[in-house]
Amino acid sequence: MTAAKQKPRAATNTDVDLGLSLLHWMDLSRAIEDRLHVMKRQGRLPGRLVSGRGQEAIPVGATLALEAHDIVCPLHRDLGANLVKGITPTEFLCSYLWKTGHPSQGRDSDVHIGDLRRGIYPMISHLPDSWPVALGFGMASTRLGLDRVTLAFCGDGATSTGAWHETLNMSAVFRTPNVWVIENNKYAYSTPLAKQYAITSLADRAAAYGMPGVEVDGNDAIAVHETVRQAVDRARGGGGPTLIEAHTMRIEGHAVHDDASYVPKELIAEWKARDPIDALRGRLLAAGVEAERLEAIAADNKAAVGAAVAAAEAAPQPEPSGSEEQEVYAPPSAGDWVLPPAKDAGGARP
Amino acid sequence: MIDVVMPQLGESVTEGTIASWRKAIGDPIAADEPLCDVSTDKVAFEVPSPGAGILSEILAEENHVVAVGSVIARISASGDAATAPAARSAAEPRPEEARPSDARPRPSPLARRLARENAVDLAALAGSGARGRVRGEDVRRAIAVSVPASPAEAARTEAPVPDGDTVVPFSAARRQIAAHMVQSVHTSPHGYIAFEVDYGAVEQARSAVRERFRAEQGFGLTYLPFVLHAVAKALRAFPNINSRIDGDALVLRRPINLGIAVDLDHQGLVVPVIRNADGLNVTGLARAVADLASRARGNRLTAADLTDGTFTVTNPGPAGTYVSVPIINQPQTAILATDGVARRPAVARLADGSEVMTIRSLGVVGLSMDHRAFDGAYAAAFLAAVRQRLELTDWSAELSDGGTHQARR
Amino acid sequence: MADDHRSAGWFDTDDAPPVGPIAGDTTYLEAIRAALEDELAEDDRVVLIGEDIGVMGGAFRVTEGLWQRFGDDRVIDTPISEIAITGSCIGMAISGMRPIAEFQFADFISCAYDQLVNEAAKLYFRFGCPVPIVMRAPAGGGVGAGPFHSQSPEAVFAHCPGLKVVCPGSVQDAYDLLRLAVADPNPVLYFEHKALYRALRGPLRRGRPDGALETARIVRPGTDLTLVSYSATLSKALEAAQRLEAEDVSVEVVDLRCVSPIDFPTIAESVRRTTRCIVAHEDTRTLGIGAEIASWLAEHCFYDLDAPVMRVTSPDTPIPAAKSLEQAFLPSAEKIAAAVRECIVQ
Repeated sequence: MTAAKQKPRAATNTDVDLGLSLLHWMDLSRAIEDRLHVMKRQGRLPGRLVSGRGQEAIPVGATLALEAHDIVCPLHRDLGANLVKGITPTEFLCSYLWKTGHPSQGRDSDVHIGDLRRGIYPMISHLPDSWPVALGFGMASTRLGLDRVTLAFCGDGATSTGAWHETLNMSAVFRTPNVWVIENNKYAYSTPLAKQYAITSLADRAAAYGMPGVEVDGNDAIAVHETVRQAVDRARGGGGPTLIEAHTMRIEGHAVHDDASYVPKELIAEWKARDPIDALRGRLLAAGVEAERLEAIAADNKAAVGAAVAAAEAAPQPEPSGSEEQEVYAPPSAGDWVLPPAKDAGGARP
Repeated sequence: MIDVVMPQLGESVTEGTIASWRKAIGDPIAADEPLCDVSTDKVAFEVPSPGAGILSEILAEENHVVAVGSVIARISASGDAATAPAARSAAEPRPEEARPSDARPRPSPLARRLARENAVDLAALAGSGARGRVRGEDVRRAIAVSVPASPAEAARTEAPVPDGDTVVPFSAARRQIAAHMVQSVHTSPHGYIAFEVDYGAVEQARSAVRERFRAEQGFGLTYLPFVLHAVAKALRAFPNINSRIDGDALVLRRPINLGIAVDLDHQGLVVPVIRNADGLNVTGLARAVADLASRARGNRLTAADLTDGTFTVTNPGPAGTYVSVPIINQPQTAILATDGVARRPAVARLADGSEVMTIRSLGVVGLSMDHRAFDGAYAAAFLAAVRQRLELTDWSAELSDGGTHQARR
Repeated sequence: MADDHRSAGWFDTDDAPPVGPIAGDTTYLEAIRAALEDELAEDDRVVLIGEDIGVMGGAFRVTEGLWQRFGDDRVIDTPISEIAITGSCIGMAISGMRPIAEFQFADFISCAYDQLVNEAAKLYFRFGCPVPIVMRAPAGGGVGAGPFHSQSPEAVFAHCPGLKVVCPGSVQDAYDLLRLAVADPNPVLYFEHKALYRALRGPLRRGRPDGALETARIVRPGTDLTLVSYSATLSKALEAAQRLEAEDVSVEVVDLRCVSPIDFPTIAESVRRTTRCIVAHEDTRTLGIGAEIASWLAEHCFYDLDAPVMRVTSPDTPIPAAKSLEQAFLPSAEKIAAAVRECIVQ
């Protein structure tokens, strides 16, 4: 195995169907978040609110490269990854509004959402703590001889932790079928890259572990998709893990309470001009797709979000059961969790 | 301040019930003026005030059972206004703080709950814990000892009675027996030793005179008078057995008054006493036993018949028992049980040193002892003496005496 | 000590002779290995994972011979990566496997705190997803190993809802609790006491154990006081009870076995009979297992108590290395007996 770093590259073709699909999910993700920001200012939204605005190409582009039985481990700016894997807008709204009608039933909230039956491992706030777990999914695929690939995201901030290092090292040692994606959005809360690491590219670190490291334009949905698909194919074929660094920019604050005044205005302006949804629309129009078709996607998504808000606001609040202390533990009758069924990988098992 | 205590009326009485108070707190009272009425299982009596003054504290409520020696009331000197309830000032310590100088620690939580549930007066209890702290076991003991004043007051659990089961409330006699048994077991650490006795000599003498005895006396001659005879003689040789415990001392009783446990047709048990039993021969003892048993069953015993026993013999043998472990009749320190006599194989040694199997009349004689009073070796020596007398006494000669004679004092 | 266990009715449920390759005289360590071996042999989903557990057989040789028998695939040596070991166990468990991890020392479990407390412990409560992992860790002192190889961290994790914590104190439980832990659908921390590894011996009955993981057991009946203990301190508690018998003090010894969740009904039943309770453990005092039991008894059994609930524990300091200091630090049979004498006269 080589650990050669590959240079970023542009999308090589414009697959219209893929492009429309990417646009649908990215636009839906943004429509939900835009709506949440409005509701926040209206006082209709409790709790915290973070935004993946401007980064939608990475979770959507990457997750669309997975099969139904693969697993994704999204983060708080990866609403699109959850949507692609089957979390509905209504479930999302319910999670944000502390209602029933979503997988954790109010025991966790907002972006801490997921459903292992749909192949989504729910995140926790400690980043990248889902990575060691994702490593375990990969090890299980190897041990059980399944063709399941696990895709996990982290930000640039999490790359400074010990868990990140341990995970990548062990993943390389055991050649696990994992795809590791860094969403480098330039800031760990307020800390810029220069204060996080002294190298020029995080993908360079892949060589130190003994796996391929790839950089990609994170605002180019098609490029992200292509890059991740190759890594997924490689993992599924027994070729081991890949580290992908997707360059993007957090163009809003860390969360709704943060005005990001520590970020230079020019930097935000520069990346706003490279908005991934605008870019994708431009490419689709250039490829001959009618503007009405793109408008219809946006209109459909807006309607879907409106319906989701109505459904979520009407949904009941979770009631304390009174027996929560018993519900902390799985009963002896609890069977195995049901991941989406995976196929036997044939020769992939060592 | 004068303490009024629950008096002890007779050595076997361990507690009394406050029937009623004749004075209220704050009332003046003269010396010897009746203060309250107390009842025990034997008598009811009034308690005269031990001094003159004001009744300042009542520590035992009516219908409560109070251990002998416990303080039931306090009387302040009449001139001592400061201690009169009416004169209490805010500066005076609260009653709890003003409790006896002992500053006894608060009773344990368990003791407090048990006392609440069973209406036991904690202040009246002696505590077995550090610095006299009352603990659960102290309250349990008090509950076991106390006898409810009437069946209706008997504290029973509220547990439902399953269909088909029958509830038989204890009779007054039964309650007394129960209380005395529990008290005995709680008071005396019981030890038990036993010997197998060859009744051959007794049997031989008894057979020889059986018909004549019945004709002359009007009742049959049983094993029991022989046993009583041997016991009375052995008690003279082992005086510590004929005793009671008083605090840290053993009181050796001069008379040998043998209590005989008599069953009342399975309805209860009384223990009439043969006074100065060591002054009677076998025939005299047999007469005394027959007389007491007959009067016991006819409910004609007098109080005198039932008091001042110094040692007790129980005789379950006629029922065919093999071994019985009796409970000591307080305040005595030992009780002897004679079990059934039966024809059993035994090894006999012949003059030439060889051994043969023989058929003998054998029975167990056992002794429950209060291990505080003496040890097993002493008790065993006593019991060995009883056996030796039963096996080796020339009973025919003894029987030829024919009647009673007074003790050789 | 093993005799104490036998006389305490340890094997009272079944008189069948021990079966399997190890029988009559088994060490605590061999019992752990036997459980691992039986799990690997009987359940294809089980894998062992940890540092140096393969060809070397583990720092304490607990897994000796298992790699040779079951291979790389089932007995997985890893880099020194407690976080990745723990996280990967979670992922494997959710994928349908039954991973059993070994921490080389319980002291190092702190490195994996986040994975245990924030990932594994909360997943079932949050999303209904069981996490059947077993984390083995040699805990405890008495071998002069100093502050970083002798800790008893059970209370730290017992405080975390969602984790189960077991501390076997007998040869049979070393086996039974490990197998019950593997069968449990929740994350279980299994703290094996390193001082017992080769010191505690006894018969072993192999085979799938009955009963629930979280049950305490009365291992020695008594009437005057309930002495609750677990792990290596259990042996000391039984020794103390034996000594006190000569003083006419009847001590009932309860083996807690599982320190989270705690089997309070068994403790309460015993305390309601004896009216007194002492908890003895090697972990430090403040906010420890003994503190929780004392607190629970104060809430639920106050009016059954004749004396304050007492604790015999290590003092609130790190565990020192020098033998003389360590002996002063650890609970002993004599310290336990002294506490019983003090409690009984209250």
